[in-house]
Amino acid sequence: MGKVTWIEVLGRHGEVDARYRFDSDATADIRIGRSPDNEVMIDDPFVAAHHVHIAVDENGALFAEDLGSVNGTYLEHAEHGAKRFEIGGHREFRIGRTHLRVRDASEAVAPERVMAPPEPHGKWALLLALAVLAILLIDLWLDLTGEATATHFVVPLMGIGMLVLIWASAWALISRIFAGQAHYEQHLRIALTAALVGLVYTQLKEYVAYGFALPQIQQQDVAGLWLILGCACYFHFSAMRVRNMKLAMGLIGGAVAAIIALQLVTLSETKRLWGQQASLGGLKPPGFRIASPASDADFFAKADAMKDKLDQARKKPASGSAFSALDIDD
Amino acid sequence: MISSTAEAVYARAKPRILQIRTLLEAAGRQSTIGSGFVVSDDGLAVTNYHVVSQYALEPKTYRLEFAAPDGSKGSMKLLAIDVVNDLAVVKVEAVGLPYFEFDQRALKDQLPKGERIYAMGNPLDLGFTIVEGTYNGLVDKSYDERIHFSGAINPGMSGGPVTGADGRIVGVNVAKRLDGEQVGFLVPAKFAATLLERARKGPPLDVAKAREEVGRQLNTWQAAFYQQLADQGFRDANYGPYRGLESAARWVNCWAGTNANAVPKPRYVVNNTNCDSQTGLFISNSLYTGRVQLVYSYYQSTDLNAFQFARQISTSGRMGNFNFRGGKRLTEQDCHDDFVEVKDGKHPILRATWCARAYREFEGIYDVTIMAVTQDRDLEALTAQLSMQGVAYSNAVTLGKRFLEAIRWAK
Repeated sequence: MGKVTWIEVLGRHGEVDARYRFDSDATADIRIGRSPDNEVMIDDPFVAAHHVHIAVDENGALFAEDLGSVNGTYLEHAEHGAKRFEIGGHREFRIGRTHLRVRDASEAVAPERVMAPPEPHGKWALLLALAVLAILLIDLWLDLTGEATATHFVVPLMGIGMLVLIWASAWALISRIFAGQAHYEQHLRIALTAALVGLVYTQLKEYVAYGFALPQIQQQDVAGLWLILGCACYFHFSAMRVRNMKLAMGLIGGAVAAIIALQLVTLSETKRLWGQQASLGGLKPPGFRIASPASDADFFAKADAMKDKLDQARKKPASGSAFSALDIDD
Repeated sequence: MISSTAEAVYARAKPRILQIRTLLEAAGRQSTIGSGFVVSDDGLAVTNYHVVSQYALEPKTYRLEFAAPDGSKGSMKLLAIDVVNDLAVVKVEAVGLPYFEFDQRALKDQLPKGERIYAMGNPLDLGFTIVEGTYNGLVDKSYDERIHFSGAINPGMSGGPVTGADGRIVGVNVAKRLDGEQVGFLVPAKFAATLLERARKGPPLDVAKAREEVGRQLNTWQAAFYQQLADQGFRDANYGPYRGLESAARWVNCWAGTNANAVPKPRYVVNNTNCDSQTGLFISNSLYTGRVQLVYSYYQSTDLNAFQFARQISTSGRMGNFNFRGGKRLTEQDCHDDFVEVKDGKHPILRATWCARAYREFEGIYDVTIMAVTQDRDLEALTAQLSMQGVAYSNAVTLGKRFLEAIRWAK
């Protein structure tokens, strides 16, 4: 049986658009070009009528040779064209705007992948939805200090429900377009997990802020929820089986960092405008206090110490913008 | 009969009263208007501090001008200010002017209630006017001495003279209540006489340094005010099972309120007590200071669970800054939060916050707010807030300590 060679014409994303099989005797001379008399015909206006041919040299090795095209033939990601090269080490090359790959029968292929039983994303999504609903309902109920109205419960529930659905659907759509499969249930599961983590995080933050008497945690934290959203995006991308995960992570990281930075600027400018609000913060039942109480002497010592800080602040000119704070010698 | 008296008073006063205008230097047009009156033959005149405050604080942007009923105009100098009593002495370049004399009875607070008195000035720039009204003694429950004048005082009359039927000065127009009818206030003549004496003897005000003078007067005022507050003493006030502080000074007015009769029946009961010094010093159009407020609210849950109750106190406990007009004339507010316990078995644990801002223009003057809530019970709590405007830091700390330590169990 003769040797088998395959020539693959690749698409923009590296997928195989067309595949041609050549048996050993035919390998003698495979011509590639735009003209119909070629063995491999390519509809690329940047390719010559007879662009390149692949043949076997006297030692029996496969080589490619440019047939005098204007645009040249390029090895994999090379910058300069090559007149003639051995296929052995370089299986992929470009002519015009078309990428080609040569494969032969001796090439080893990856072992067969074991098919994992489909994960029950739907069931998980349902469980998570129930957990989110339960936490939301409890939270709304504990927040209810007046009359129980339908809007008090329905509006936030609908709001968060719609948000999760729109989010998951958007990812499923992106997934369908770019990765071929929607994975709707998996995206829904990820969105619901993020919602659950976000809710728990928000609650936890309130209790910690109260427990340690640090309302600043509550007022000044802008990173937490965006980081959770960033993580969710990571999982959405991996559900899409994105090949370049590093690029995806870079994009997410950059976006999250930009949003957090923007929020910090807004927060600092708001603070410049209004200062810290005099408020007792979000109170919880006294049983959730974690910090042990300070003595009144300690409390007033700290109050006293604030004077110097204020006296320093009054010497600086009033400003409303974070940018004016950048002038050091004012 | 009455009209003929007013006619005579005005005829006599006419060459002695002035309209005082603050002009924007760049535009040469009036920015604010007020009134004033001549009190010496060499041209000294009295008006309100708030009539000339723009010029005093920004002498490069504004200048002063007077207009007399006979149509004459001229420039004037600022010689002395009394921020606390809202008075100023200015000087008109003239000699041999007819002038007002002070009523000796008024200087000794011996005017009878019900006496007819006459307020003059140029209200709303409509022209010189005389308003007949009634002397009603000094305002009750007021830290600042102010005469209660039953008659119409309107913007533009500020700084104008108020005389008896004999044309002698009883007081100076200064303010009115917006929520009442014909409730006007006058600065007693004695303060004008004192400031006039100071202007005559002392060096004239250096207008370039008027801001420092305002700061000094503010400081002196607050020192005396907090001394008075301490001297008048405090007493305990019961709020459910808790106790709080109440000033014994008669000029600290307290009002109470409740939600008990709200419909539908609320899920918690709250009783509020709001005590207010009702003091206020006009510094500039955007800065009004010198108030002390003490607010207690005792909450009791009827139907709320511990979480809902805590939530309710947090939302209704957001009283915050009341000097919103100060804006950037004060530094950003800084706060310190903590749980606090006075460990002697008589005090519940408190969650407290101390918030303070400094006045940028006046050294050593601050706005301080202290808030506290009891943390010993799930379904009952006392929230307390003490707000002090225009206070020295040490006075704020002293009163703050007293306030916080006063929150304890009633038994």
